[in-house]
Amino acid sequence: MNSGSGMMRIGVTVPIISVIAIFLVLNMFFGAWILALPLAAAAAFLIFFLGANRLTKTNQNFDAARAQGNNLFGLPDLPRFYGFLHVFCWFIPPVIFLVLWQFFGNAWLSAEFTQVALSVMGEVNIDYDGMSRATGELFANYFFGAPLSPDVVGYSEGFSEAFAGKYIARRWFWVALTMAAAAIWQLSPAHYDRQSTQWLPVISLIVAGIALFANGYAWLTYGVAVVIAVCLFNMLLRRSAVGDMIGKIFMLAGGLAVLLWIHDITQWGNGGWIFASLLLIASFASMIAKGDKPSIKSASWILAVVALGAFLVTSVVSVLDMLGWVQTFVATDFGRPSPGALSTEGSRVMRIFGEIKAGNEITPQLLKKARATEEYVTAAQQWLAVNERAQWIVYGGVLASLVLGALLSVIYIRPTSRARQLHENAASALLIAASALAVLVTIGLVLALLGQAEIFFAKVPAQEFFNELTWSKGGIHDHENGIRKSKLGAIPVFYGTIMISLVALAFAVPVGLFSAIYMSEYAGPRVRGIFKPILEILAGVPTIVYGVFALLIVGPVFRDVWGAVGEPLTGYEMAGRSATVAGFVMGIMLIPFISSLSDDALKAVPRPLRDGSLALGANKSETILKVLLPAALPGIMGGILLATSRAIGETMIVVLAAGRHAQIKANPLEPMTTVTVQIVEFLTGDTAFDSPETLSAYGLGLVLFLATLVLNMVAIVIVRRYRLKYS
Amino acid sequence: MTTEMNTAPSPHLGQDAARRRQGRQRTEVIFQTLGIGALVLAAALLVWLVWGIFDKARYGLTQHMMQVEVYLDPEPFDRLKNDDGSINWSKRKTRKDTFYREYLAQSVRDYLPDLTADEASEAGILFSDAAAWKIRDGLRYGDYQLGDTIEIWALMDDVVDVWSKGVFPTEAVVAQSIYAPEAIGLMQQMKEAGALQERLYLGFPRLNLEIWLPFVGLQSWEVSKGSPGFLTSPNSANPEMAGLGRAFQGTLLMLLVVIVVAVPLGVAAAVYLEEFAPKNRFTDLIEININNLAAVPSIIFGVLGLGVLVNMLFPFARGYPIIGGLVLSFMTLPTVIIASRAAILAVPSSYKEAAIGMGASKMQAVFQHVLPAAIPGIVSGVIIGIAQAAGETAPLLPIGLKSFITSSCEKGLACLFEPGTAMPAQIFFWAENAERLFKYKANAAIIVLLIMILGLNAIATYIRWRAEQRK
Repeated sequence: MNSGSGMMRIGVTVPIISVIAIFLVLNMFFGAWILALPLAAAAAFLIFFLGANRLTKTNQNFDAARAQGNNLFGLPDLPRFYGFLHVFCWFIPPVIFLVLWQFFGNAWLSAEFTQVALSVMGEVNIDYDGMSRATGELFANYFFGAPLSPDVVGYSEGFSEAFAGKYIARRWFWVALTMAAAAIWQLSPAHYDRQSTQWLPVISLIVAGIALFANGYAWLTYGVAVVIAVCLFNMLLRRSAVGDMIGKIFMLAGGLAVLLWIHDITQWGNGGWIFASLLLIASFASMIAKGDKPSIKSASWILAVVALGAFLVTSVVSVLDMLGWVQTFVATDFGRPSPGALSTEGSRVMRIFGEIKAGNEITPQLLKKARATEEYVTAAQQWLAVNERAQWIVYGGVLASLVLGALLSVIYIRPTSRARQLHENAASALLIAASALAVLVTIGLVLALLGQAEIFFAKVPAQEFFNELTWSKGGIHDHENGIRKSKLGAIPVFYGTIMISLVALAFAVPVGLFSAIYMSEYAGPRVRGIFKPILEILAGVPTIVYGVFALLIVGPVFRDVWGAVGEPLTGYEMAGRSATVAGFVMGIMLIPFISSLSDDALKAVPRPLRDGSLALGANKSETILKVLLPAALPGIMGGILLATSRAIGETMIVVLAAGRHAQIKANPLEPMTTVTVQIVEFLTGDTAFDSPETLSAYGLGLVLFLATLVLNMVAIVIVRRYRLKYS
Repeated sequence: MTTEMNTAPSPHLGQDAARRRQGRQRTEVIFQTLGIGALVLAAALLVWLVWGIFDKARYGLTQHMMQVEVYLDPEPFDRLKNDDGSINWSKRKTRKDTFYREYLAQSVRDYLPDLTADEASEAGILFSDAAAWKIRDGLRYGDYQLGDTIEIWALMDDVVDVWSKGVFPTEAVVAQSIYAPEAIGLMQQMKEAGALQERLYLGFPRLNLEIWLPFVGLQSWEVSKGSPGFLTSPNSANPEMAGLGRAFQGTLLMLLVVIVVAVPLGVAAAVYLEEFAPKNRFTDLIEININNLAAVPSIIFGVLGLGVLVNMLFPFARGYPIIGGLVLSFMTLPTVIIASRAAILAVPSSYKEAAIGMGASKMQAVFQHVLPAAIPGIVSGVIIGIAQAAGETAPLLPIGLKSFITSSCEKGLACLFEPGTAMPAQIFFWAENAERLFKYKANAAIIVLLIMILGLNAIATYIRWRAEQRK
């Protein structure tokens, strides 16, 4: 690379791309191009002047550096790394802000809108603040028997039931997890090497923030106590200076004081957020002005860290507050108006809002037409104000994140920074994070299933679910109370799943196995060339296509054929949706799967076994039957197990072709239902999302997940062992 | 004794042996026949599937229309005008379809002069709402003027359509009493007179360059603003008007999310696991995890999407394509990781060793030498993963990507954050619908989906093939 191209790359290309990208992101998500233009211009200014200015202020002679083949910044040619830093510094903060806003900001808006809509419904008067306060006390009462103040007693009735379950457990879980992480980090050997103690205040602040979020000052004390205990323990182990320790504790106390102060003056609202960000910017600015390096000894650095902690905590809390998580769960349990009523009110408010926004005059006629009153106009104006505020938050946020980007780039992009190491460390951190995501998905899966299944099994005992023979949604008359009830005994559903899978395997295993044998043992290249793509196409066809094929094409044909041939002989009629049709089509889907796995298994059998058998005079079929198949049997069995797991998890074919009627019949011509069908039916149905019917989908999902998990594990173990045997 | 031994029949000769040999040969033949039979059966099933779908799909891609000459008589509008002579569109009458059906009915009467009075009065209902709305919108937006005579292809009602295609017998129309007997008679007369013509009804998208050119244009997705048709219209309650446009857009958006989310993450994870990961419990755990994740039923991912993404994190986002895209990304992630790992593993280790020998860091060696060499393999694996995601339905149902959406979305990427739908989900709901035309449209949509998926697979195969040729 010559110096010219290197210069181009850092000096111009990357910043331009960053600016355009910021601009596009703004544009795509918000359509705010009027805003985006000046912002992009500001960003360009900052990048070109601030960044370049900083970088050219080196000790090296500019011209001499270029003469040596170095780039514009007087650095050895390392454009790639600086490009990375540029992108990181300039591009990441606004993007993070915009993405966060897209999710959390909208959530906040919808929560605000609920408030606005609620304000119209005069008779519902919810004291959110009171509830929020009450919750803290009730928590303390629940765990530690602390006395309740008189105005809270009224809430305690609904409380114990609502909180005994998931909420408390979850909060405990997160607090414990964070504290454990902090403790482990403090105690781990790696910690000594890296001297990472300087991050202690941040950890403490996060822990404290979570503790605080988990309600009440009492919890804060526990959190701080744990952190201090860990610090002391650490100090004992490391025999570090007492002065150092005292300094840390002071720092911690100072941080907490700032946090509490912010909390008191702002109620964790946006004010706190703005305050913390101001503090953050100020401290960074003073740090830069003094030219301090990040160090535990630098006062402004400590201030910056404290402010950063405050910033993080306030943002988290305000985001959670926006989401309504701090308050809403209380409100739900103390009687919130139904979503339906809310949406009626909401749509009226929206209508008036639209009129106001379009600049139309609100006439009594219009109000009458919209079935609204003056209160709705007030609400709509409130909503307008909220919208304007939201707009300014977006503008301010983008600006602030750009400033943050500028500061980051000023800090990091300098001749003395070790760009390549930074770059490579960041890259490897990203790589590790990407591979850990797969684990995260699994954790999410298990948590989602377990959490909901737990609630389900609290409503429907496992004894009923796994033991009863009736699966009926609202089909049971309860004469005593005059209502219809559901009976959720899942045996018929499991039965249907197994039945359909058996039909599918009975068709797919022989066909798949024989095609694999023929392809691997007999077929020449030409036959292979014809049939391999056919099997690949069969494997590539989406299951919805098989489902439609089963419902609209195979079903009628089977019924006609059975009506002409089978019915006169047996007297059984074939139902419109039946286990046979679903199983048959599922079998077609499984053929390529079984075929390719068996093919692999057969190919893995060592050549000498085959040659030996042929040399002894056995013909091909005898070799296959008596030598190859027994040798490949574990591999084939593994394949069949994998196919089984796929069959029981298959959804679209059975949803379309197997029916919804849960019954235990030996006759495969009857309609049957499967676990997956019931999950789809209950999760797409119109039942309330905490009703036992909807929740049963999670119970079924858990069973399905565990069943497939076990089948897969067993199959993988078998296949691996088998491979080891021959390799 | 020796003579006895000499004369003893060899076990390989004689009748017994011959029978045995015959038996063995017969087994061999049967065995081979079974093998080839299985393959032929698989091929036959594929042919049946494709033929069956095509057979029904052809009814979904065409629509019966009538070329009508409509005289836009100003007279009925006399009482529906503003003071300045323009049409008053706030009147209910000017917005309803029945008002415009009268114009269509008149053109039928002109076409078939000897109708009875009863038959003539029924002519309007044989047309689709779309035909009436075409006249209305033309008048409203200035494409047509009152007093003009316009010539348009008017879409017929879905019952007329399936009846003319010969898949819905007259007796059934009579038995279900969909139309009055006079209307059925008229329908037959129109058919005999050649008024009903079967034409392809695909529609084509129009990309509005004015809006696309500047940056602002990314907000615009002007598919539905082209001519309406099967490929461009959104779904509708009227089967003849229903199209795949919105679902197609939803699928594309979700695939975009998959490309943006799953592909970089998957490739990064593969690079880490294959090149950097130390052998320890954590990486073992990740590996077992990925293998298991690849085999988790897709519906479970839907439950994950509903339970975590929708119920816990973004309760307002039910049915947004972004959520669907994320769920599909989670689902595709293991596929991408496994394929990319195989591709990276296939790169000879000498590449990396040479780079490191020349002084590159490990990171540089991997990203500048190993990864580029593995790209064909990664790309083909990724494309197969995307094709798989494009056809996946089950995870989309619980997270609500199934809504009945009759409007188009023209906000470009912002449509990710509006309730949407996807092609497979659309197919599912059409296939379950009782209306015949919807079932045919489901098959037609399958053709579109299959072309897309098999096309993607073909591209992947081609890339792999070319990479192999180069070696």
